[in-house]
Amino acid sequence: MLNKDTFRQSYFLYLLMGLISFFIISADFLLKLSPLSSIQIGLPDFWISIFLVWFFIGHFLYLTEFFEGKEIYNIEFLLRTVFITGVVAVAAYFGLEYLPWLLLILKEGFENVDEQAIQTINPVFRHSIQLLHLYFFVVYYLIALVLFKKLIYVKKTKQEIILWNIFKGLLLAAPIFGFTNFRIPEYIIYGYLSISFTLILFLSVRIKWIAVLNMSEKWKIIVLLVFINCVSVVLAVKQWQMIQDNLLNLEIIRNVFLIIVVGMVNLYGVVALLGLIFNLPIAAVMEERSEQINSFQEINQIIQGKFKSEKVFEKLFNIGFSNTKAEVGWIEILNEGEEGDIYSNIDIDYSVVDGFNQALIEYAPAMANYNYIHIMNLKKEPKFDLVRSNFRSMLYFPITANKKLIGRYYLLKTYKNGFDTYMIRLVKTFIDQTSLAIENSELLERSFETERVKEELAIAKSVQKRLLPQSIPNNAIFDISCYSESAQDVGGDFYDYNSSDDKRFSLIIGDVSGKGTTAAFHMAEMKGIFEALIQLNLTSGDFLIRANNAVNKCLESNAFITLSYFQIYSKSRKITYSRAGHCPILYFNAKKEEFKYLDDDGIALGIIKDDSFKDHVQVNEIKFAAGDCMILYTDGIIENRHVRKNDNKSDEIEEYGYERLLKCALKHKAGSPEKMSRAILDDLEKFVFKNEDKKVKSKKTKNVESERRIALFDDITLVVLKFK
Amino acid sequence: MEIFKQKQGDSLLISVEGELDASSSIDMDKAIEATINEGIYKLLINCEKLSYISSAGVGVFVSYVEDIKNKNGKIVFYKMQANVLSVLQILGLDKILSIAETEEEAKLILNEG
Repeated sequence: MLNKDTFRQSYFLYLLMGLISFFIISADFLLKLSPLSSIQIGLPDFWISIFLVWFFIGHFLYLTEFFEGKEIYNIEFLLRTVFITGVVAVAAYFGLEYLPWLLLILKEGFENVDEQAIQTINPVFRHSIQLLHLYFFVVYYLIALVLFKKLIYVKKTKQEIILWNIFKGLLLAAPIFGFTNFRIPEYIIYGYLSISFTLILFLSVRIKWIAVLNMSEKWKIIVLLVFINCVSVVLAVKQWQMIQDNLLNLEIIRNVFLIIVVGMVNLYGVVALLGLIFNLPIAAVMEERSEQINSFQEINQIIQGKFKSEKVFEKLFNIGFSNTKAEVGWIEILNEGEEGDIYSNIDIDYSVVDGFNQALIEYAPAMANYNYIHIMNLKKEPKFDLVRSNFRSMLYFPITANKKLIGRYYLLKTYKNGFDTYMIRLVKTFIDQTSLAIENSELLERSFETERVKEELAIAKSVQKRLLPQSIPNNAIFDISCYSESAQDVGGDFYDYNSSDDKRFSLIIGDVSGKGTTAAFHMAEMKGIFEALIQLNLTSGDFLIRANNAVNKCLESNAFITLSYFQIYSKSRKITYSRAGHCPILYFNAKKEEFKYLDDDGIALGIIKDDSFKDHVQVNEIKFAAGDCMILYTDGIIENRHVRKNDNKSDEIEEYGYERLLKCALKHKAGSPEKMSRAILDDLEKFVFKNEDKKVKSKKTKNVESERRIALFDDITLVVLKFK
Repeated sequence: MEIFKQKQGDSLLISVEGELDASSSIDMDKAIEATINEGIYKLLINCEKLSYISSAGVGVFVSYVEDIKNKNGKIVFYKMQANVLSVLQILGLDKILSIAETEEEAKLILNEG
């Protein structure tokens, strides 16, 4: 079973192997130095070499496996680990080096201690310290190597993996040169080393991780790398000196393993440091760019969210101010009629702002036409004498939205030529972006508003539709068909119907002057009044008089209502009706087979405010016979128009008119009310569109019943009633 | 629609050209209101070139009829086209508004008192 634990155990074995090897070497070394060294004990050189290999490779493999298991993405953390290890190693190194001195001073007193005294210290003790030095040195370099490998592997490609594996192979094979029994010729060692160092060179330039750092991280890492390199060098020099002393009896050139490790760590450290330093200027520019991009996004986000102009201006000010490195600046937001808000980096007085505005108007009277105004030396512009104080260069941008000036942006510096073309272009871009965003948001807001109004009108329309009877049932006396449509979403036409029993029916058709929402309100008002009056079973004359009184109370002086009111008696088969200025009734006499507009008098409601109204009320009576037909309508039908476009002259307008209605009705007199109604509406539609707009017509007629759409000039209502 | 005003003694001659509908009725309303504010209550309205009148247009005149009557003034229309006249007739307004054939006749009616 190979699970995580067994894996861990196996790589702990590497460490164990390394440590044991180290102890064996140490023990052997110390034994040889001891006073008993005259007695030939200790391991043969061959075995020493073997254990040295195990010491190195055991630690190397252990550390490789140890860090392999840890996912370290934070480069700073990684290098800090190397650095801390280095500090610990150096501290231990020097601590151990001076430990004999310290012990001696404690024992003998400060004045008795000198170089010779040191020599009196037990050599075993002194050499143990040197062995520990070696241990710290090796461990530090291996940790650095393994962690640098992680850096090389950032954004790795196949190439990095191949290079590293070759390097690892060379490294693991290197201890072979340390075997003392079969001495490999030195030129082979040099060859091997040059191959290794070429590879190290290739690996050293793998510093892609620099790209993922931001500016502040880069600086931190530069500092870390400087320290790491110092530590590496100090440890390497110290170890070099010690080996020179030959205390450990190590032959430098044969320790290819250590040479490669030291070479790799130092070279990589230096290359990374240089890479970072050379990257800094580019990084600064890149950083600035990415900051600018972020600013753009921020502005957009602020605007796309719930639009708050203060925030946008604040942001715009900060971006422009920091990107131009201006010393003083402000944005004045213009609110109509009021003193505008000001965003500034200083606590600025409005009089200063105003002073600059005035000076600028004098300096550039046509300033509205400029995208920006750049003054390189204010001292040379007398217009600014009063306001310039110690400022020398000035940059002004108008901020506009929908061609309206909404803000003024000033940037100032205390030295000449403070702003360059690049800065101007940049700020201009930000301002354009802001303007665009503000315009868009205003547009959006407006379209939301329109949408909302539309929705409300749609609701009003459906409410109003419900004010009209959904359907009037056919009954024993007549069949009836009703159609009503508004020119706009809501309108002023109405009709209503009441039947207390099947002996008498009341019918009303009317039209409120004007159209659209106002008319619709009046219509709704009237609907209530008529509903109440219709219940009273009034004669048609009384109905009109009462209605007129009500209308006078409710309506404005310029509004009036036309209506016709009918009472149909089933028993006596007669209609009594009164007309109040409404379109004349088109009546079909079945016996005579003729259609006729009934000629009677009556004045619209709401015009005569006093009692004299009753003088104008006429009650009329018709005896109806089976087959007789009554067509009621509003003026929207008669006045619906066909417009003939004339290119040079004014448009020619033709109304549908009474004549056409009569002719059409006559043509279809045999049909049911439903059929007649449809024929009249079709005829009207045909008339309105004539032959000019075939496309619209054909499209419209396809679905006549569900969505008839005559280019409505006014609200239209059509009621056709046929007696049985 | 276009309105031409011409002062004639204590009366004002208004010539209307074009269509008097909901939108142009506002201009008409202003014109009449200004006249009344000047203290002139005798109005002659030349309808020769008035090609169309909507209910809103009618409403303008209707709203001043009462006012002007109370000030012993008068509105007289003349040279009305058939379709415009028909609209007024159907509404029953021919009964309460003064409508003349010619300018002379209109002036006569205006000065009847």
